[in-house]
Amino acid sequence: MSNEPLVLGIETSCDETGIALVRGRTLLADTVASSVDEHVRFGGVVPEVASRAHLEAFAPTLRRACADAGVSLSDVDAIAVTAGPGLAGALLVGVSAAQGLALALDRPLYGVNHLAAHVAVDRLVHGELPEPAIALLVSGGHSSLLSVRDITSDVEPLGATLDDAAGEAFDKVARLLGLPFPGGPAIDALAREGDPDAIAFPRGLTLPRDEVDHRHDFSFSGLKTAVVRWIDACRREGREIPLADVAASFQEAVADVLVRKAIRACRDEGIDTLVVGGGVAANSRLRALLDDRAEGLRVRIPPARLCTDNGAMVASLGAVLVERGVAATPLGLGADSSLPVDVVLAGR
Amino acid sequence: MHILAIDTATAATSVAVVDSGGSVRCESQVIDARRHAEAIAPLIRDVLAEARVDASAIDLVACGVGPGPFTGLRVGIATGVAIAEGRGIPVVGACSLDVIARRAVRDYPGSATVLTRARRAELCWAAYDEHAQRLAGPLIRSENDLDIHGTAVGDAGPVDVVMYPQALDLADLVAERLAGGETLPGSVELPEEGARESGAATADILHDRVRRGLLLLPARPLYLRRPDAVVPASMGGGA
Ligand SMILES: [Zn+2]
Repeated sequence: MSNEPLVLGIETSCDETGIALVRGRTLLADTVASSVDEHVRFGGVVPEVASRAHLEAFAPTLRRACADAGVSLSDVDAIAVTAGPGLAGALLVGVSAAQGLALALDRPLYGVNHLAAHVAVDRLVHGELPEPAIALLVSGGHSSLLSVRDITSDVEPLGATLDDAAGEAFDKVARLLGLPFPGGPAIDALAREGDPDAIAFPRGLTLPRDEVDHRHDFSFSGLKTAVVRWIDACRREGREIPLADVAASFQEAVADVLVRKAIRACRDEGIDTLVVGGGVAANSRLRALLDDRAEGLRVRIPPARLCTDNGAMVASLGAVLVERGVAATPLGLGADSSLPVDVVLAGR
Repeated sequence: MHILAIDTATAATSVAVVDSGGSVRCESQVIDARRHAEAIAPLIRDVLAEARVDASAIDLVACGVGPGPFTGLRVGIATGVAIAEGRGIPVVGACSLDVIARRAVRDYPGSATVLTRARRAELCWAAYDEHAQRLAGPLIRSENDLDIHGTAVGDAGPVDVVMYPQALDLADLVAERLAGGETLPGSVELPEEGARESGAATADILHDRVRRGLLLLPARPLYLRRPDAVVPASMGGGA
């Protein structure tokens, strides 16, 4: 038997019910039940729909994770759960269930930060996290640059989006182009047939004065407005909308600004490792641009399946916390929908 | 046999441990409508400790499944479901209106309609016979559709007791609907007490139903309505 801790990870901050088992750095099972299909017709995640789905999915997903991993719950050494940030009602299902398990199994509980967990998942693929590292987290819910000096205790926010998250911009532009929700994969696919230089869409917060005030921040709402205006102008002039070119040029604008700012953050901080996570990390243009431009940097991007929300990321962070002897979260943990980025462990 | 009962269908988080004889070994509650999640786990730990019952000695988990505010309900049910999974024991649900009806027919022998406030201008209601067995409901209806004699809740027959445990404004509403000169056969208000008793009462209901071989509810909130969500016009939704 291994001496490494067996950690159960529970993630319910948005529309994925993720439950995973990690032993040390080995991912034994990663089970995800998604309610995304129920949100498609609303064009975005509906919190009440997501909360209902989490509760329905919890027990079956937990059983499947244990079966996939070939372990029983009594083998689990610790339980980790996303305590925030995220949708309050959705988080509460996971936090409540995690506390129920901690009570029933008499095991320590770790209420962790979703963003730190996005960073920690990479150790399951590429080995122990080099610390310090810069992290770029981009999804439908977040767009953040973090300086990670110690994943268990010292995560500093360098910048974040001032308005829409990167993934949100993909969703909104996809809707404009008549593409399905979620917009990321649809735009990525359509953009392959388009010219990324066809339309010069704006790069948010890259003006000289922004370089001072908002050096590491993002803004995508101006870009979305520019796409709306460009399409309107097309219609007014009776021109056919070149959908693939719009998709490719929009995607180029997002990927360009993300990559530019992420690499610069590494240079500014003198840190040579960049970890990328979140659903938008699956974007092919973002990955290609990072390959092109990250000279001298180690860029670590987990496979797409681990970039989106899942239980593995939570279990992975939980395993680090256990291995480093960090004290558990006391029972009585609530959910914190706006848990600050620098609070790795909630409820302390 | 030990039942762990959890009820979060009201502002209260209530927990009770009931033993095989049906008697309450320990019961406790915290009243704070916004902090069910913070309250519930320490409460269960403390109630088990005080009852001197180890988590491993629980045989059944019972959860109040509402109707009630969804967020709080989910906290109690998610906790109960997880405890049951952790111990490999069953988890069942009890309708929160049944809990109130049990007390109604004890205090006012006869049949009963139980009313609670759902949200503005809406009521949850259910009809019961003199043994507190649910005949109709629970349903959510506009208060305009309220028929205190129970006919609107199904063919429940005459109603002898009207309960309105949550809000005094229900008393006015009921009085308004009574025909001229008619008086309420009996009425009971259970504002705070109703909430406070709910953990033990949930266990009690369950115990009673198990003994009588009645069907139990699954541990799933009685939502009684579809989620509030509007399909955007651009996605083909109507106004
Ligand atoms: Zn995420």
